[in-house]
Amino acid sequence: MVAYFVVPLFLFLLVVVQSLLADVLFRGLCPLEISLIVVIYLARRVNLWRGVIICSYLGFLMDGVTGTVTGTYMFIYFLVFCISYFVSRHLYGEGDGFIMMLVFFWGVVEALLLLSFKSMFFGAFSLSGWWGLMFPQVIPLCVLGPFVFRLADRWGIVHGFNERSPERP
Amino acid sequence: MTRKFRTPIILLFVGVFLFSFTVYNFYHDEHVSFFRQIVIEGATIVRNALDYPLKAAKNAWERYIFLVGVVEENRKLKKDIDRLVSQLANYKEADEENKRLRSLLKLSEEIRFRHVVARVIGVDRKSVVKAMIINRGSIDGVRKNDPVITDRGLVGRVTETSWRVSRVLLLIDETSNVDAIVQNSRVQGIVQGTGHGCAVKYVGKVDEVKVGDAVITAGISQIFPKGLLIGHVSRVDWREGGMFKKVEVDPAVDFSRLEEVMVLLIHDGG
Repeated sequence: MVAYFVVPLFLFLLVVVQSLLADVLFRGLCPLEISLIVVIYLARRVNLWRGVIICSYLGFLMDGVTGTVTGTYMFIYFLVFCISYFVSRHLYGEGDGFIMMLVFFWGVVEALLLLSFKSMFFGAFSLSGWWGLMFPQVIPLCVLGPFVFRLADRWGIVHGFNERSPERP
Repeated sequence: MTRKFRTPIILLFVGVFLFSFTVYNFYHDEHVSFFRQIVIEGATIVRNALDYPLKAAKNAWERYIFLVGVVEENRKLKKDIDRLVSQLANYKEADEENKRLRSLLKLSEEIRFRHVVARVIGVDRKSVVKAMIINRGSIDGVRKNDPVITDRGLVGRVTETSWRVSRVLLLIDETSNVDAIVQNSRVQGIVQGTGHGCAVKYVGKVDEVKVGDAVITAGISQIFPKGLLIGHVSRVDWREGGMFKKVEVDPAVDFSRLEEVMVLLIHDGG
């Protein structure tokens, strides 16, 4: 029951702190989207409907903090969560390399989706802008991926929601 | 059969709903929703609370990590130097701030619009939306589309306001469009952000534009008043771009060094 109060608050702090960390560590030159790793993590740990709700909430927070049109990150995180969730039933791994590959893949897909949204709404799409957005973000995320997974498992970040074991059949 | 497909159908419905929700919000963005304002305000409070200790920790790490193991006297001397350097930095900082505020004050005397001076509390130059957060909101009279300037020139326009903070879309964002004039030749065009700079669109091949020409706002739209400096032409290429010249502009404002800005309250009856 406590999880219903703690998790939303924790996710809010995560979204704010990640933007602040990106500001302090990279001087605002590179976004640090740890929330994307959290979405991938949730897809492998919590049940479907709770995951959908948490990811939509996380997306709403991201929309507010980054200034994107409300719903953009909600839709993207929902998509990432659902596809990751169903894929993880057939393709599952817990190794660092696997997690890094997963984060890399979703980082690239997310950057593409964001730029597609921007192109759709504003008619502004630049491939160079896409590379500039993707690479600075995806590489630190890949490195952080396994670390965040371990930390989340150890601290029980989704404690109470943790219905799927890390060791899946 | 129906049970088997129930979950995918509901998920598809949720996905379509979220997508439609995004499109709806794009076309109906006149008012920032209450919950979004709560997120923006909350984020600013947490950010302000964490900003100081984080920066202090970073400074402490950078300054003192290499001093471990140095003899006592050396440490004392270095501490003295650090203290003096920090004091000097503080003086310099105050001096710089003084200069910036003086130039803003001078500018505020020249400007005929009602305005407020705001402090930049967050800049996102490499995100999807190149924007910054300022510490003035709707209770200070800031409204959507209000122009934001410094003594050097145009910074951008306000895209959303909360009670105490506002988000400013920077001139360099790809979605930023400003009607402009090349000052010398009076050639008109639209200045659009390119992500790292700006470009003037729709400049005909016969129009005369030279490197170094100043580009100012045209004042045609209801958003920007006429005569605000946008930047200077940095490159002109007539071979690219079909019917039009490719004209690149260096913004007058250095977006990496923005600390204080001025918001013109022209949409608040000012």
